[in-house]
Amino acid sequence: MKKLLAVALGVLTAIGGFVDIGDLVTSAQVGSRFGLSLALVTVVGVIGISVFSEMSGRVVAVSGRPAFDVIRERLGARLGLLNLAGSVAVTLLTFIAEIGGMALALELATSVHYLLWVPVFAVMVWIVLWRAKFQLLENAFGLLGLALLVFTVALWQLGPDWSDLGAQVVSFTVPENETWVTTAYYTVALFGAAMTPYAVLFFSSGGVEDAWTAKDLRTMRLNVLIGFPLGGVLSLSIAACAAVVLGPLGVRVEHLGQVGMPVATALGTLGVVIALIGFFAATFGAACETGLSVGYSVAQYFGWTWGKRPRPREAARFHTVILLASLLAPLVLVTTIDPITVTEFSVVFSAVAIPLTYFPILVVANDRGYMGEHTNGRLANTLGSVYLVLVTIAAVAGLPLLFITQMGVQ
Amino acid sequence: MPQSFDVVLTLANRQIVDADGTNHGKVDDLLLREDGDGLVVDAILAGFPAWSARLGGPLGSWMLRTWNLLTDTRPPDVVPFSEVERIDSAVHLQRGAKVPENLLERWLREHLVAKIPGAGHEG
Repeated sequence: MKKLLAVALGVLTAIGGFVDIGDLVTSAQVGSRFGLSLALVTVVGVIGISVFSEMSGRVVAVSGRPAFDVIRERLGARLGLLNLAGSVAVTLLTFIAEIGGMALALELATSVHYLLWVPVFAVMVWIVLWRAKFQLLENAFGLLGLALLVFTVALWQLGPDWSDLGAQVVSFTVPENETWVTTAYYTVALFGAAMTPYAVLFFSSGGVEDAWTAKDLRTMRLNVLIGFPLGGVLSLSIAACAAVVLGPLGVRVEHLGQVGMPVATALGTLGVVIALIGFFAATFGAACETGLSVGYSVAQYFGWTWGKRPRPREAARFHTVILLASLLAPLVLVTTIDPITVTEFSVVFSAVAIPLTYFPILVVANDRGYMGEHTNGRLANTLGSVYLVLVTIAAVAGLPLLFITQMGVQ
Repeated sequence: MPQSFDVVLTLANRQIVDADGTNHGKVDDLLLREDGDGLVVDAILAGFPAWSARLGGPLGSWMLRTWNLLTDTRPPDVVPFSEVERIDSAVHLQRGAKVPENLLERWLREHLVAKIPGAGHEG
């Protein structure tokens, strides 16, 4: 159990990157429309986010400087501010979407209109961010999020044709009824979601909250090596379940209720209950991750006191930012905008935030003044450079693809 | 302290930390003095007015004007360079170094955060 708790930060970070409300629906959508033909995109994304999280975690453990501190230091006031605007936009949109998503899920369960649940969840998330200790937060939502492994069990239970699924993974063809542009859009969307900048911001700030030093490099790496692949497994299990059950029925996945259908088919009511717990924990956890990340990035850019370790009154500006985010979420959602659509808009801001987040981390991880003997090795530099190019292409291509395909509808 | 160094690379935009590990903003600007052939760092400037002046452009000058209007042209926080103990990945101040309390932090604490129940609880 103690070993498991030691990697809770990695698991919670990965939940925000791979199975937040937008990802849950996108994974099932992709599974039902494309089968597993885009599975390798998730695998490539897992490796990419692991490379940069390890780098940023190493910088924190060795120098004590979290990601946005380093970003401001290397990019300067102006370019740093541009990145701050982009990152905060991505992170806030995701935060808003999680609160809307939880409200929608509860509407399904209670038949009470979701807009009535929105303020309830906004207040609940804020109270947790105001009062709960960081370790409680990572342990509770990190571990409960593992309930989503019920999709892996369900897939097993469904007894699919494994060789057929395997063939889809390496087929590299555009399925019938889909155009290559739509396929490209989902490829970029999946990759972009996996490489979302707030994952690295949260992971490195969590390292400060957990008081990592150079002695904790092993623990940090364990968090990366277990957390992110686990996130990938959850995401792929959901996609595979959708591919096996929803694809043949021609279901167009649009909301969370449909995402859980394969579990109902395979495991009945008990399975559905576990899936619901998983949805709730993942979405609530992602809300905490993104809510804190907004505060972390603003505070680190300006050099304020931040985090869950000081008393709130000693980090007044940090807690004011979080309070403002919690107030903004209901105001946006009351316009009745669809929460899933909100996450898709974040692609626009990712185009700015993604390159401007990963580039300075790669530079500082090579700086002996910061890192001493722990500078990047050849593997980290090669992977880091390759992914910097990949992720920049994806970030820039995301915009036109979003408009041409009208968010993947066509 | 190093006698000669690249000010932009080692100093600008770095985190300022006091002896207790508390953050005191970033090195937003520097006060330099000509001294023979070179320049000597006299003081570190931190806080909103220093930052917005450094930012420049229409946005920076607009924010600086607004700040001056709201605070009656309050100058940025000045930390004499003699109070800097060492510079590594952050700028560390000596014990007992005097750093003015941040205006916005104090205002938000007094008017908002301290009034919420639980503001004094250990996180």
